[in-house]
Amino acid sequence: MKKAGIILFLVVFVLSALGFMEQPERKGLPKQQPLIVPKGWPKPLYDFSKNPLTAEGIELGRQLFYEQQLSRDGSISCGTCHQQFGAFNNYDHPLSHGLDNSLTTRNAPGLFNLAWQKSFMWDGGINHLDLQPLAPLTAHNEMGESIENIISKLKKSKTYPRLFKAAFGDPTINTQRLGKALSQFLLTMVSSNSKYDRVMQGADSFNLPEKLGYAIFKSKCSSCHTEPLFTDFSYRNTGMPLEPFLQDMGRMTITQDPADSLKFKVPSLRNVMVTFPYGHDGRFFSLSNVFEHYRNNMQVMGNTDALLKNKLPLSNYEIGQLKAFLQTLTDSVFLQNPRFAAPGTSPSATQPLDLHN
Amino acid sequence: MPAYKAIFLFGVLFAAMAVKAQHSIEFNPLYGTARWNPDSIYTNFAGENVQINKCLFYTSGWKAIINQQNKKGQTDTVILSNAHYLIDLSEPKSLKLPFTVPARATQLIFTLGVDSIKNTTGIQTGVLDPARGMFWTWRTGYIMARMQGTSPSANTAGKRFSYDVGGFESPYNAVRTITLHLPETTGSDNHAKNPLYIQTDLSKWFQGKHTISIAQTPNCHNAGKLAMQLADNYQQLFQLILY
Ligand code: HEC
Ligand code: HEC
Repeated sequence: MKKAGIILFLVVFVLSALGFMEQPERKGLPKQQPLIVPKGWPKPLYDFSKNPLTAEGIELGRQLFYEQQLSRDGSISCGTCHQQFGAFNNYDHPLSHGLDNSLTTRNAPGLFNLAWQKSFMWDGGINHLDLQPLAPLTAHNEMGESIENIISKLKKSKTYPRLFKAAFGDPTINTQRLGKALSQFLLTMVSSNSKYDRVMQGADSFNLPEKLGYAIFKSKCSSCHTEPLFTDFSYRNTGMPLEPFLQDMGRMTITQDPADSLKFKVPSLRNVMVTFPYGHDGRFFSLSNVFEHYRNNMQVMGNTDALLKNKLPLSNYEIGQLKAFLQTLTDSVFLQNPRFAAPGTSPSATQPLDLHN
Repeated sequence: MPAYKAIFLFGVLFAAMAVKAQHSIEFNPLYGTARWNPDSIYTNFAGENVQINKCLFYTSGWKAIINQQNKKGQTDTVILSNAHYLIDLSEPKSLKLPFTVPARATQLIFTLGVDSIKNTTGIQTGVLDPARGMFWTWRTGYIMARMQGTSPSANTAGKRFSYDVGGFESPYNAVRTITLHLPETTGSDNHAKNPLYIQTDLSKWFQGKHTISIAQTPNCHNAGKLAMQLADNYQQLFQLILY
């Protein structure tokens, strides 16, 4: 009789387990809102099946992105260093200001089209978008807080448990959900509405300098700054000599391979007109400085990219045309999209005159 | 119920009972042969005095090899657990593993570290939550093992030495497989339910396959050559004994 009892128990157990498995996976969860992939773009690399976008998740991510309480002294949010009018770079800052008058060691890049990026940071050291926020959150020269404290601050807050429940179905707050929510917001930051895009879709046309600039760009730049994302996400040595104070070896810090010395990720050139200063440590004040670097100042090293072994000859005329073309990569719809602005504010169309503090 | 099903279930139950003799299993932190104490000062191979206040590591992939007595010479691998465990030598609760080892096991195998899937798929939860502090945030990767302490030989602030070993990608993959042989007496009837102890000798961090002196290398905070050497060393940390 006891045996029969055990068998019955096993049967009931298996059946109820099956029952659980058959439940629709997202019962009680908010409605999904898939990312719209611009026409002609490759498939995003981010695995949305593990973190489907929802209006509630995106909104939570936006709140967190602009939440100063995530920093140790409540003074810095992601939005402090990533500003919308600079395509989410740190506008006019070669390096960024962190806690207690500290400085970052690299230039804060613009943030957009992150769903297509397979690794993050100038050295590619971070391999998943969800993990990226943990770097600034914990770095002593950025937001300087411990993950544990952040989670406990969020749990104690009046609003966040409700927002996490809306986004994830229950009010659990943990590191994984913090990362996923921030990713949801970041992933929606797609920049694909520049004049260049309209021209490619046949809805607009280049003027003559833009057209000539585009042709030069295709022959001299696009093997690294590849369309449509304007980067091929590779790491290259472009002959930028080691900065003696920062001692930043770039990709080599991650791989420990001398062949990767002073290699940095090819940055996207979308919105490049508003993302100055340029270069991984912000050493180039203007586009003209970048062009001077490519044609004159480069220090060709053993592992400088094969395409740049003889530097990158550019005439003044070519530079003029290239600048005209690069202007067409500015996406003013993106720069002013109210969905990306801090909650309760609207994006300002004009950049501040002086942001140095 | 058809008879064959009942017989089958009977068989399963019987088999389950036959392997019921099991050892519990637990880490036992040592320095040399003495039980490790965070307040004690020890000496390493180089004659350096060391005080160790912290040692933690991840383990996963626990398996046992069992000699099948009935089928001649054949061995069988039994998965004991698929979970990751964070062993914190100062946290007695974490030393005892929540599963048992079959009495007829001849080898115990586990992975020291966190596999590459968990290193490449975003933020994990539970013991793998980066909030546990065993994770590099500035470059992705788990700290597979950590040992920290002080030594007069360390030319650093506070005389601290600190080894955070990680790296999951070739050629600097610090994940190590540990294979331990069970003592001969394990399977015998009067020992069949005794606990197994994994003797964990911290002196091996400094002297295993390589020698690591604190004066020369007081810190390891990235994947690379030093992390690989430390990992080779702590691969030899463990030995099984039966009480
Ligand atoms: C103190 C300034 C500062 C703060 C605050 C900050 N960042 Fe950044 N961010 C940077 C800098 C500098 C980099 C480039 C770092 C590097 O490459 O080493 C960066 C890089 C990034 C990148 C990678 C972009 C790419 O193309 O590889 C993402 C994504 C990002 N930040 C998101 C965030 C989020 C989310 C937060 C808030 C949790 C945040 N940042 C807070 C300065 C900051
Ligand atoms: C061999 C690959 C390669 C080629 C060819 C190349 N670039 Fe770059 N470019 C890079 C890399 C890598 C960086 C980042 C350098 C750094 O900061 O370490 C970069 C940086 C830049 C920047 C700074 C962007 C920023 O946000 O910091 C601009 C502007 C730029 N390139 C424009 C161009 C133009 C225009 C051309 C063609 C005339 C060109 N590049 C050709 C690889 C290349």
